[in-house]
Amino acid sequence: MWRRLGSYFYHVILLAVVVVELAALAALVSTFVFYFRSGGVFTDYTFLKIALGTSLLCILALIFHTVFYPEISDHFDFRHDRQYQAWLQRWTNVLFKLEDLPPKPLPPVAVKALLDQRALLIGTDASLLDSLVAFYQLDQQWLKGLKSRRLDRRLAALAALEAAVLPQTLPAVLAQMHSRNLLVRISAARCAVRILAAVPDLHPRHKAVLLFVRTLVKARVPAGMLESILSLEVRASVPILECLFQRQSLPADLLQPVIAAVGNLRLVEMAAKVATYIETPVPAVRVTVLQVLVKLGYFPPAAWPVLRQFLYDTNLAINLQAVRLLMLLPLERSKPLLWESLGHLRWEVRCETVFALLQYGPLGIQLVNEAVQEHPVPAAVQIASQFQTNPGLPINARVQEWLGTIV
Amino acid sequence: MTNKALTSLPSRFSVSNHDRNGSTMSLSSTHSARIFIVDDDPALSILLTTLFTKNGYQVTTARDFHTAKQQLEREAFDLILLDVNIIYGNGLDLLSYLRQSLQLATPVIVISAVHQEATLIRSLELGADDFVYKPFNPHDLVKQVAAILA
Amino acid sequence: MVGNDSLTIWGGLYLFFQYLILAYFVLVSASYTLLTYLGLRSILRYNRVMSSYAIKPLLESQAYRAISILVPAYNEEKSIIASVRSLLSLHYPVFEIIVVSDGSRDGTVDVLREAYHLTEISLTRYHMTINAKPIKRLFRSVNYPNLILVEKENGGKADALNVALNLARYPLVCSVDADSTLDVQALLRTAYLFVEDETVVAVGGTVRPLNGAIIQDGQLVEVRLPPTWIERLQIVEYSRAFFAGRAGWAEIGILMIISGAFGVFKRESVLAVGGYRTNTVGEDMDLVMRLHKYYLRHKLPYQIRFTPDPLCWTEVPSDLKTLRRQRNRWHRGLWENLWEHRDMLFNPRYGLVGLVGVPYAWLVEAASPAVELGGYVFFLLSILLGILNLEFTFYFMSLAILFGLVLSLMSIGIETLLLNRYKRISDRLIFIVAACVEFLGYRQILLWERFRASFQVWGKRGQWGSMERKGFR
Repeated sequence: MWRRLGSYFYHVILLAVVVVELAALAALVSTFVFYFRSGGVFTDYTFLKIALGTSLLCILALIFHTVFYPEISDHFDFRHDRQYQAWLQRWTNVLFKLEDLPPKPLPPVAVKALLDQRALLIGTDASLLDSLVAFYQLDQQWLKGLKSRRLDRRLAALAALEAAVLPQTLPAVLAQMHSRNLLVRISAARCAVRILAAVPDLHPRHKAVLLFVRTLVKARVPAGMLESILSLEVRASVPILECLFQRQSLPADLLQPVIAAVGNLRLVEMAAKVATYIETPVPAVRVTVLQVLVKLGYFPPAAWPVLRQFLYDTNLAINLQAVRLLMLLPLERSKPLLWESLGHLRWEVRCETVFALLQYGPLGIQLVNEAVQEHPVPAAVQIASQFQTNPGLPINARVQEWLGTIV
Repeated sequence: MTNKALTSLPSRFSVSNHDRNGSTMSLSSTHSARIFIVDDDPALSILLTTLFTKNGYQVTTARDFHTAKQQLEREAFDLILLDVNIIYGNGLDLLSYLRQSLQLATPVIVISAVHQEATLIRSLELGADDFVYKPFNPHDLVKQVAAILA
Repeated sequence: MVGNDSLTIWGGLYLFFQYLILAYFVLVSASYTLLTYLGLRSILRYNRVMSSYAIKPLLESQAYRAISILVPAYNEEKSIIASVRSLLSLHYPVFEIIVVSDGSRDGTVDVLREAYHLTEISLTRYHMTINAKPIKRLFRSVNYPNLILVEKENGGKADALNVALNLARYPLVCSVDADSTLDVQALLRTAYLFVEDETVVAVGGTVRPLNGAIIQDGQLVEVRLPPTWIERLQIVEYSRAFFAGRAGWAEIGILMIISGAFGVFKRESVLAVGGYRTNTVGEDMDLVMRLHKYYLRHKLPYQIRFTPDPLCWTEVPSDLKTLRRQRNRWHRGLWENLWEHRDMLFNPRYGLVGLVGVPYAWLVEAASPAVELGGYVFFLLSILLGILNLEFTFYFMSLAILFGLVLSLMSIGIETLLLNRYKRISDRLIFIVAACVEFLGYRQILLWERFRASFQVWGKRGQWGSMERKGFR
């Protein structure tokens, strides 16, 4: 709050300085014009003097601001922090020590503390804090904030609503998903998902999910953001994803985040549904499909015939996912292909193949050792021997990350 | 006051504490288990501090990486609650520092706001004992802590 | 300034010259004031919107496009390990680091091999999308699969970047100087702009002098002012150049330079314009100019953006000699670029870039040393001839000085206001003093160097001149 005021204040200073400086330039020009008119004699320096004086004032104001603003703002920040922590303590005491409720009009810092605390909790404590939101009638205030023309105020209201999860605000939040600003759309979608997760009954929830999906299909949210939004809450996402899968045709930019969310939430029951998209023409989507299947540990029968083709696809990410999918099979079935891909043209695939073999335990390690001895491709021998000289190399977490999303 | 704290304690913990100290009135602040909370979010750390103090533990907190690191070098704790996001660093780096450089086996519960598998896998690899996602149920957390300390 | 004998030819010329200087001064000052205002306003707005509650969900998102980080390195054995370590610890879902040793003659390759357990792998085919010097050896590590080290024949920074571009396999590429330190959120914050708008093809970040900052465990802990005045004065310059200059240009959509120290691009766009140009010392500006050209000529929608977050920290010269060499190179790079792209000047086909951006660069940035020095000569001449109107000259000079000061102070204000930098009051006072004394010598020395550089452009085409590194930490 204070920071925002400070930023507006500086904007005002800047505006004033710009006006003064442009006026100073005008004064300079006019002095020169007078000089020209009066035949080359300077007569009047009044304008210039005023321009110099005001410029000097600007400089002083800027210096003053630079020197003292941080001190003042630190002071306010410190006070705000102290109040915030005091309020946190107070709400915590209400929860755990059953202290009395504070009187009614709450200062903004108390609301922030309440919401931050609320966002951390589930269970009975959370619902107790929820009833406080209703008690202090905070929702009205936020709904008003949603209608504000100022972007930062709308975002603040959405952030508050997301923390408070109030089912009655869903329509107003959904309306924000059509905003022109991406940040607002994302925040609104997140907020809506949180609310959907909190709607208790089956029937109204179903209706709300339908409403959300209808809005979502029309709202332009980038695929990546959508994925993280859909992965926020299992409770909300399962019906949303089911609803989305039931739609006739999903465009690629919607399909990819939907499938990725299935993987993030580990919804094993949807694995077969995901597998039907295995031969989708868009490479990025296919990568996601394979990745999710690997995550869910599901090897679809349809994958076997195309696996070799995937292994030698031009897209590296598809190669890598093919290797990882192979890993789901027992070694006797995957062995020929893994042995082959040890000599793959791409270093990344070779490296991943060794990791895959190591995952199989002693039998796989034996295979790696064999490769050092007798693999026909020199590159395969090379990569395998790197692992041999590095025994007990941990499956690096970075590898996991690196093999993650390739968009 | 001690009585009040005792009644709310899960039974396993009080038993073990009883055994160790050989006295029923041992839950004075000097002998209770010491918990170290590393978190940059004051909302969480105040909540946890109140919660665990009320349950009879002795709580120390740190907000940033460097303070936490120094604190770990200086003092021994019975349990550490570690947030993944902390100021000037990563909770997991602190965990690996604790396990690898300091060679300490202090039980660690990692707290994360993000449902990211990579984080979960990484923290378990580094030797975390348990993993808690925000938001959480405070009473369950108390039980979890008691179970680990038992 | 003139006496009464203004009827002679000399007098007329003299008068004309006065008008010229005045007009130039008014034009430059007015445009710079407006630019500063636009830039700072955009930063203020950005900061209000991107406050913590808005940025948090963005930073938690897993869904950014993967980035290839391109690190050209030439004789960097002192700092390369630290740089790579700091790059490896960046917060970003998926990225790879491609270090290209451009025929280094010191131990750059060896220290990296040792530190990151890199092993040579046989070169298989790779697409030479852009023509570049051949690769000699390629190293990878099973411990750090996202690190790639390339050793190639010496061919200059741009050539090294082209090799890295050929090897890069992710949709976004980020060019980083081997000696710069990135903020851990640098990639996240820049990549967001690509997510926000599909038409963004390039994003420039704010580059700040690293000198004087306190670094712990590869992370910037506190920003303080460096000990020498040369470094302090450069901080004032950087502050003005990025917060007022580049932010302002980006605000009106004609940002023409993205610093080579840190910039993120769409790979396909860079490939479309043929990668980096190798025969120039200003390859970073050249690339952006060609992006503008390409998209405007093909009438494709595009955006080149700027992010005011301080994302990249770089060591600036701490002695005058190196500084002069650097500025000499920059100015030559500017001239080379302007000459290369001279067809853009006042060409309505290139929209605002051709009508405003390029003319401004010619008139204000490239020509300013000549004009300013001309002004000083004129001033001296007038004194010698005794025809100087002291009173007017006094007012004019004071106004010019105050103007420069106001512009510097506006940017400095932003620095302390939003970024909460320079927490000690003494640092802020020194900062202000630095802004005040900039025109007492420092400015003139660099002016002279840039003036000299203007005449060396042809003789020294494409020459870099070495920069001595202390090696940080």
